[in-house]
Amino acid sequence: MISLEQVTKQYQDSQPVLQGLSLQLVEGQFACLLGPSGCGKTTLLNLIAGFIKPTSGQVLVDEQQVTRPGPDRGVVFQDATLFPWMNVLDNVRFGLRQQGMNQQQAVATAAEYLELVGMADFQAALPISLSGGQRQRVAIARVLALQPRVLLMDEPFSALDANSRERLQDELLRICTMRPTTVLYVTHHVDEAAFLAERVLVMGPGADNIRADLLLEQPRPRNRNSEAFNTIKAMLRAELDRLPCCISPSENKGDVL
Amino acid sequence: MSSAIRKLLLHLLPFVLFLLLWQALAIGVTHFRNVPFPTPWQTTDRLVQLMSGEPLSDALLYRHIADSLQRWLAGFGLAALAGVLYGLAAGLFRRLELATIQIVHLLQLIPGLAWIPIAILIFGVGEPATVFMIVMAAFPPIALSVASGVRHLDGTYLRAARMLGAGKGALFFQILLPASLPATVSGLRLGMGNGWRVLLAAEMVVGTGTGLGYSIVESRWTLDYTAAFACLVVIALFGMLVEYGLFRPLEKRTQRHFQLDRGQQP
Ligand SMILES: Nc1ncnc2c1ncn2[C@@H]1O[C@H](COP(=O)(O)OP(=O)(O)OP(=O)(O)O)[C@@H](O)[C@H]1O
Ligand SMILES: [Mg+2]
Repeated sequence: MISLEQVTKQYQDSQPVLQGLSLQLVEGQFACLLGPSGCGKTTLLNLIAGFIKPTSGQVLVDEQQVTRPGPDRGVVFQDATLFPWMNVLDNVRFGLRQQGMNQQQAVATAAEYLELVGMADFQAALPISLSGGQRQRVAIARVLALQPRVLLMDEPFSALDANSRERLQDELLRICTMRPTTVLYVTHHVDEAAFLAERVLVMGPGADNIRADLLLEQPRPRNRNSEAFNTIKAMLRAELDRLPCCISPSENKGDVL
Repeated sequence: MSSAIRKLLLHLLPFVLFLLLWQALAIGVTHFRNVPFPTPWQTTDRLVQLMSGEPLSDALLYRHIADSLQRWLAGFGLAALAGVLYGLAAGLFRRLELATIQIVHLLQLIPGLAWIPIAILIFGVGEPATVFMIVMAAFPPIALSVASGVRHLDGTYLRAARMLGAGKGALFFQILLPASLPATVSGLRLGMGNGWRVLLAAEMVVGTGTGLGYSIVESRWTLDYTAAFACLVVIALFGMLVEYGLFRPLEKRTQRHFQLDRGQQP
């Protein structure tokens, strides 16, 4: 179980990005974090991932405070960050080997997860030779293979063209229904949240970061053309419209762990 | 004309131009200064003679080549080892970099010939002095390139690796080392060139009396300038061989593999 208790995050001397934020992720639930650019979505995700530390408050995984990144919290980044000097299979195997899995088993497991994301035929390919969508598939496989407690995804498909994006959303839903996974998925697309989420956390800047916490009851996969889908979108849009659209970025990036 | 042939001709053009300029210079100097300036043809002719066994400064051309290569390899090898190790350390430990990197920058500014008195003072006349000079010429670019490669390493790779559970050892050997490989290869290439270029200066302090650089310097006394030119050609050819045969392809390969996710973002 993942929970945040009264978390505040402030970069250097600027205004705090997150303030007194409390949140619990529900086991097996697909949650989307929806909010305008600059409101702190990535910051929240990085806190859970353990890439950065909260200024105050606690991030807990199974009652244990998060102090560093680890394989129990798999992250899929916006761009795939596969290791370019390793082929696809080795990229997936890397994490498994770090867990102390033996060579043979690691290869088998990696192959299994590549199969799951539809990349079985690309084991020997180098990342450079793959399309953006294929790379994200591999990036998903490499964290899923570690069977993380939570899957943290930071706008993973936003660099893709509209068509691949929808295909990958379909795939992600298929995988998550097949093996229930706790997911926290960051996006600023209303469509994406409406299609994927069981729960939507609408986020805004400053104090009271979580502006709305909505449960979407409609069963998935949802039909993108249906009336019900449009209703969800309209509702989410209405929530977003209450927020200022852009938040000016603060200075000095570089406060990383 | 097929495009392959056209491309080949285009690549050969600089060499043809170079030979023409050389020829013109030779004719001009010979005519106006009344001293025989070796032409490309005379040089080639002399090179063939030397290659077929005519001695030069009391030794075969092959002996000179072998000795030069050996010195260069020794110097470059030492510089590569020291440069990569120092570069990794300086890239990893900010304090070490702050404390020492200016020295390396300084070393890089010192021209090859300037090392002669220093080399002689430290090592006396002989092989070690030569190798020392090559090391000093080759070390700075390697060290600087590796250090900056490590320092500017894409942090997301390290993040991703730690997220996947990598410990210190795996981070170093499986992420840091391969990720800084392109910078290392560029550094080695620069160091290789520097070392090769300083060879002539370095061999001026050798007491043993062999080497391409030595032979060129000796031609001042024997007046066999054509042989000196032939040695220059050999030096240039070897340099090009290592550059185009080894480092260019290597650099291309690593950079091709490592260019992932650049210019792919919206
Ligand atoms: N390392 C950092 N150092 C200083 N300020 C930072 C740092 N990272 C983020 N910020 C600032 O914190 C705020 C929130 O950033 P964050 O990246 O979390 O937003 P986001 O919601 O993910 O935005 P986007 O949708 O554009 O990705 C921004 O104002 C940003 O400039
Ligand atoms: Mg973000």
